[in-house]
Amino acid sequence: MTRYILKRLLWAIPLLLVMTFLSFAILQLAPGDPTQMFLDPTMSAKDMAQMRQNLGLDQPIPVQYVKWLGQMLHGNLGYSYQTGKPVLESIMERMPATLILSASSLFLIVVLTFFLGIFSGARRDGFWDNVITIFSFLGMAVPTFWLGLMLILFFSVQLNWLPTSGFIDASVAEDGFFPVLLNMLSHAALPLVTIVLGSLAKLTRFNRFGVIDVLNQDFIRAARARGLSENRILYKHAGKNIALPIVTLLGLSLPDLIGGSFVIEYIFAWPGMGQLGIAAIFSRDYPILMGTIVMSSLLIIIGNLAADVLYRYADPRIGMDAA
Amino acid sequence: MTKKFQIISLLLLACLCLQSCGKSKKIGTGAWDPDGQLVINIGGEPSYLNPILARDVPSSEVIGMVFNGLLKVNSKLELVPDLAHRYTVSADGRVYTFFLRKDVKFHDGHPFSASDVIFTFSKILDPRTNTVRRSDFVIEGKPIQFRALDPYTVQAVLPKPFAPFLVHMTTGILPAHILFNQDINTTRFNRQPLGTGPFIFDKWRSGDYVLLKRNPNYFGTKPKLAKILLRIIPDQNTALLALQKGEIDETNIPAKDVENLKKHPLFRIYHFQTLQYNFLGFNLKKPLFSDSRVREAIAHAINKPAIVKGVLKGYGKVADLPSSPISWAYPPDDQIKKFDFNPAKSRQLLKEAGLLWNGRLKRFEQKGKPVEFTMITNKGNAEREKVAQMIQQFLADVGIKMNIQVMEWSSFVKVLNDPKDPKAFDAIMLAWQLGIDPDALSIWHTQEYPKGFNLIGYSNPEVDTLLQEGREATSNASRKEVYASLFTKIAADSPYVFLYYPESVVGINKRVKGLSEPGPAGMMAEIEKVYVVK
Repeated sequence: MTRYILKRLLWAIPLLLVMTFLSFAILQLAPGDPTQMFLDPTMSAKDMAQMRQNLGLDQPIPVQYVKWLGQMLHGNLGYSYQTGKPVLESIMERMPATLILSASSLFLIVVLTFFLGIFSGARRDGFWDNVITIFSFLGMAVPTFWLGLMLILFFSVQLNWLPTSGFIDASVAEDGFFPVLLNMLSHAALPLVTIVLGSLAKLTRFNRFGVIDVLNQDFIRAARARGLSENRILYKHAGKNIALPIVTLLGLSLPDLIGGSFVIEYIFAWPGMGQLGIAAIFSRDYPILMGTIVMSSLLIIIGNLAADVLYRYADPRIGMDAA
Repeated sequence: MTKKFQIISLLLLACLCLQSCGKSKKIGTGAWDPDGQLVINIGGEPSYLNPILARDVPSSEVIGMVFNGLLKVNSKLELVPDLAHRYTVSADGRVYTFFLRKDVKFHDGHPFSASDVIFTFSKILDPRTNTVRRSDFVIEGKPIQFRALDPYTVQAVLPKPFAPFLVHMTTGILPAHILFNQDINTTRFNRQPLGTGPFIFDKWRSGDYVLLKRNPNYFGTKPKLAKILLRIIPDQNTALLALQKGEIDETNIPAKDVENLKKHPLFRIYHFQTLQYNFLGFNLKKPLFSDSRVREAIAHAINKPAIVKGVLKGYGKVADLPSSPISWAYPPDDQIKKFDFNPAKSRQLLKEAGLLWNGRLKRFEQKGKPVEFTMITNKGNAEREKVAQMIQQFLADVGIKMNIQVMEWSSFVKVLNDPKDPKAFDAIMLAWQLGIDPDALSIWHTQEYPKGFNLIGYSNPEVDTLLQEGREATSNASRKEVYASLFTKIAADSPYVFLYYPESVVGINKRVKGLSEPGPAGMMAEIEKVYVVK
């Protein structure tokens, strides 16, 4: 197992290099550069040229890439063109907000869809299955931004239960762990509900089909013949079998965990990676973009590796070479 | 187990709700709250909180409260003394002498002096500094020389007279004692600024808020607010909901929402003119638009009052020239050549320009082909896109086909900035934000095409001369005359169809008092006088 993990990690090095090179090249294909994003008559062409030179943008692209790579290998991801802030610091400032939202929403989605999928699949075409199906399709059809705004309107403005937006109130930011945690959770509640409701629908359908498929298999019939209770059959025997696709989903969701959701972050003014990434794209902030890409790539690689290792535990028939 | 879980969940939910309940619906009825906090939305993450590096609106809003310039702009858009208590100008308009206040301290208690002024402007002129303000201090290739005559007197020597110079003296002054040995582009100071202004920087939570607190030692009027929280809420809908809940005290309101929110009990809506004009610009290097009769015909075909009423919901004014009616340089109304909505006159002018009317297809043709052009504009401005569609219809009514191409900002800017002649567009729709000085050389001078902001290739030797005269004239009276003549000449040439001056519409919580008169400087231009009531 250790050998397998080491082998996969060694393979990650050239993979990461290729990814950074391709990303760097693709970024250069987009029109404009950071000095040309403002249309301001008070800026002279000479100032812009000087700034290009200061930022090293006047050099050939391969030279820029090699310089960036050299810096990165020394653990320096450079400075943002837009803020002059170290890239790593910019990313680390935003990462907690994104991780809190993504990890908790992923956890809720996995748990809820697991139970809803089994509940719905076991009552195929029954009343509750139809109710869940209708809500699933509604959830898929409603746009996230609309749902988010409606939740703010109802829970924040009408009921006055929760804050409209933001990460934490400035007034409690220094009040100690629990007040800060509660305040942060009150801010996270609505974005969390929006994400969960939006994703629940699709995955519940996915799991429902998995359960229906498993329930038709011989080993379930055998379990029923042995007189096992329906709950035991559903949650232990069928549940274990639909766990495999969930593990796959978890592995693939890791990049989303740090990528953040731009729409959710934008609506709820949630200071996460999604907003940072989109702002960097629009302002052609290459160092921030490359930093984000490196972090995402690393997590994709680690996520896929973790998923493969977990497969082995979820289904012992899968050997490490096959994984 | 399940019951326990349910109880814990309910308790958690109750705690979360209690966290928020009672924190909103701020309706002020009492007296000045000396511990009051103002909460405003700046709409985006600031870039640099450094006056010589920042070029975005959110940064400028924070910087305006933390730093002072030698001069400042008051709510009437006049330049008034700030860190300099007075200044003199030599008879030839080349030497400005600023006499600095002696009672000013930076937020860390260090006294302010001439060395800070010299440091700030030398940093701007240093080519290693990533600033876009350098050209403001370079006249015809020669930099302005700054020197300290004594610790409280600074002299600026200009290579030649340059009237807009004074506006640049509103640039915030940096503390030399902190920055003298730091890389100005990457210093931590850019995120933890320290100035002389009425508010002291306290905290910046990236993407969430910037918090400022009162400067008790401020040299000017002592600030009445204890704190200012500048929230970063990028979505306008969310910001509006936050205003309705009372979470924020001020935000912009789109014209379309004004009617619904007019009678809200929590806030008042104010609207005022801005220093901006929107236009449809013609590429004058294209044969179709080189004939002024075609341009005038298009101007007569566009119903500008209908645009102001339909798209701006009345929150704007019809524009006639490249200045703003609230600028001191705006010419007398009777001197302005106006192109009123007149489709019959439009068709007549098109015929005079040699275009043929095809009665069967109800369109103008040239060499057997329909008269057609493509107008480009940027994506992400819903108002502008609606205006473009209205113009398309107005032109179709007189027999001209206008195609609309909405482009992603960077692609749009690339087309406009491309220094080739002619540029690769027929027409553009855009807006220019005007400064408080009427200087417009970079937009209208012949030498500013194709490298520069004369995007359409406009050239008029008389206008070129007036642009130079406007820069060099030393008295406001003579400048007013020059600019009146300049703007009316440009309007008569109709290189743009000047469409409208949009108004700014803001909602401000009723608990906020001490506001300035509604105007382009904003209603919190004199932030130290603003306060909230209990």
